[in-house]
Amino acid sequence: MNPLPMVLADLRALRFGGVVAVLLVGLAVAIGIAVGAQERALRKASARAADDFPLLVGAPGSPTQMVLTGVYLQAEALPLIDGAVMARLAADPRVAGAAPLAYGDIVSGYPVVGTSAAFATRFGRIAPTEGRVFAAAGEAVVGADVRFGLGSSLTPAHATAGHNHVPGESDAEEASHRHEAVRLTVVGRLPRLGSPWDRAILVPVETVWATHGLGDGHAAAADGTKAARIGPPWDAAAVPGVPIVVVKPKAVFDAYRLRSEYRQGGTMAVFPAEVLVSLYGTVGDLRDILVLVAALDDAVVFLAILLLTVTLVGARRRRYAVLRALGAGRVYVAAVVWLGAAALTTAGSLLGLGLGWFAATALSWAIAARTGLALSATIGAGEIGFAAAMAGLGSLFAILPALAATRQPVVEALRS
Amino acid sequence: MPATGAPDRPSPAPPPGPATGSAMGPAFLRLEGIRVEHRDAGGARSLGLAVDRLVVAPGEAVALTGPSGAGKSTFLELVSGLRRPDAGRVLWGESEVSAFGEAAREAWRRLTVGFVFQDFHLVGELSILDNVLLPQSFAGFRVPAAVRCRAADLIAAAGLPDPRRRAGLLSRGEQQRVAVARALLADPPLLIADEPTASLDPATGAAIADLILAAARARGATLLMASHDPLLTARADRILRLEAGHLVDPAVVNRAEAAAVPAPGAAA
Repeated sequence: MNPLPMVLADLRALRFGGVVAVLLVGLAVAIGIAVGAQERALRKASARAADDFPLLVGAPGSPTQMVLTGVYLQAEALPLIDGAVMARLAADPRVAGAAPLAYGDIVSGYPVVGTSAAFATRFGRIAPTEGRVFAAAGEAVVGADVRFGLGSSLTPAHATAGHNHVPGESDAEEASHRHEAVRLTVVGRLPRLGSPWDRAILVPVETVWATHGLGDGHAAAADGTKAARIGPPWDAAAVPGVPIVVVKPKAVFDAYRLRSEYRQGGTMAVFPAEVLVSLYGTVGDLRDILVLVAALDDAVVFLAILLLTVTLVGARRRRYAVLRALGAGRVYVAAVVWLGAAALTTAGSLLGLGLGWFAATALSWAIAARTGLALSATIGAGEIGFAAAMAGLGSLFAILPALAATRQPVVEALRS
Repeated sequence: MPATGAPDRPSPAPPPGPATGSAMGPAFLRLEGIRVEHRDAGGARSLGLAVDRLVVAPGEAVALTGPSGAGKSTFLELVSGLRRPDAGRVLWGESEVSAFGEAAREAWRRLTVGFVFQDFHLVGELSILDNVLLPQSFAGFRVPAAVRCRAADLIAAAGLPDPRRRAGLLSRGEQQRVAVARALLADPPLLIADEPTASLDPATGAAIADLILAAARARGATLLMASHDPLLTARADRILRLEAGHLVDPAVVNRAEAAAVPAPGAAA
């Protein structure tokens, strides 16, 4: 038995109907694929972006908001902690590095983040691709996607809460809140991190403090003179409040000890990775729901295809009756119908795999444009499994029209 | 050979020995005590066909005539094993086709019967060659090269052009030629044609009639054709007229039987 010539003839007879059916299945399957691929890409990229933030210490509040603001630079006013905490952390022997993160200003929509030179290089993990890291107040090192070249002179502005500042675009709102007296000079550019930090302008935290009239965190010498220096150690008494301190503990053991110590006494300490895990749990539930909805959606499309096929079998009953009259068995006719319908749904599922990948890539691109989080959507085992399951479901459904075809009486169909 | 070369004459010669016949070879076709009833949508029964005795000799060309609804199609369906009688037996040689199960009837039909329909029933999306080879795909996966050659020869003999042309694009006459070639591929000993010329113009119909009759005679195949076409029926060895399910002129029937046939079961 070789039903293939007849299957191909049947598919050819469908013409555009077949193309539309495959397209329909493809689009339906693509939704599930895109959701799965997108969610994984988001998880990977966000986890990678959080790699350099082992422990965050800040004022008690929402751990999620602290991570969103600290790691992903979501503009949000956080409560401050006493500067003494940062000074104490910086001096702690269990700490490999502690750096403040101070927000609030923008330049052309790019967030300005005050921190230490050590954190600008992610505690030594990266080095500037151009120029150098800031070494004095008023110097800035920019993220890979910031459009200002080395030597540019920038004037920061106070970011307006609730206003959507678009990175790279200076608007009237920004122009009306400029710190006119402050000048920042770009001295270096950081490599691409695939995170929102690629659009940030990093300056010494002292510059942020000074811009807002909060001093510079360093005590005056005994003679009353002040050396214009930046970076740790800061003087506990002179440090203004900071929203977040990034802490890099020396060991895992230290990390847990530090967290439990700074969870009390007016501070909050969180592992961003832990917050992300719980966020991923929620996002994962959401993904599961979306994938389930997509699968149900696919089932509906398959039912439509099934109906189409059953109708087709009815319309083609003479064609199949002739085959029977010429000596084909029921199994042959069933195989022709089943293979035809299964080919449509399988081709649609394969197309859906491609379309889903395409959609996820387009969505990633849109998310990257909005957030700076570099997503790369890939088709993984989950998506292939989903497409295979859909192809299997379609093939299972296709048994029905195949059975219907075998039940048609030959003699009546021949005479009709 | 039981087939006769003399055209246009009731010709069955007495068979050599008992009326044996494998599924593949020429054989006597016998109908005994046949009754077929039709049920309409309301479940009411009506007589479709009643044939007490009929014997068709190997190689005989028989035309079935009669008004529509007289039982011609039922007769052909019965003889080709598409339908089982409510009573009676259909025998092809020693094989009681009406007693076969479905799978056996399909296999028997594949090997024994060549079908030509009024409306050709080609698969329009397939080429001429693929249409002719299609019945080959019901049983085997690969088409042997010899069968492919034979198909090409049949297509050429049917007077068709390029075998790669799509069947759906052919004229009606050409389509019926393809159908004839398809029916002949397995070299069946029984050819069944249901109004093969009815949907063709007279000239084309005559050409198709030539083709079918010549093919049957060349192979010594038994030919059963239902037709209203006097040009076609006139060329049969025998004309059977059906009316309301009954053969009208039993004498004609019995003449052939008397001439040709040992008593049923005599061979056993």
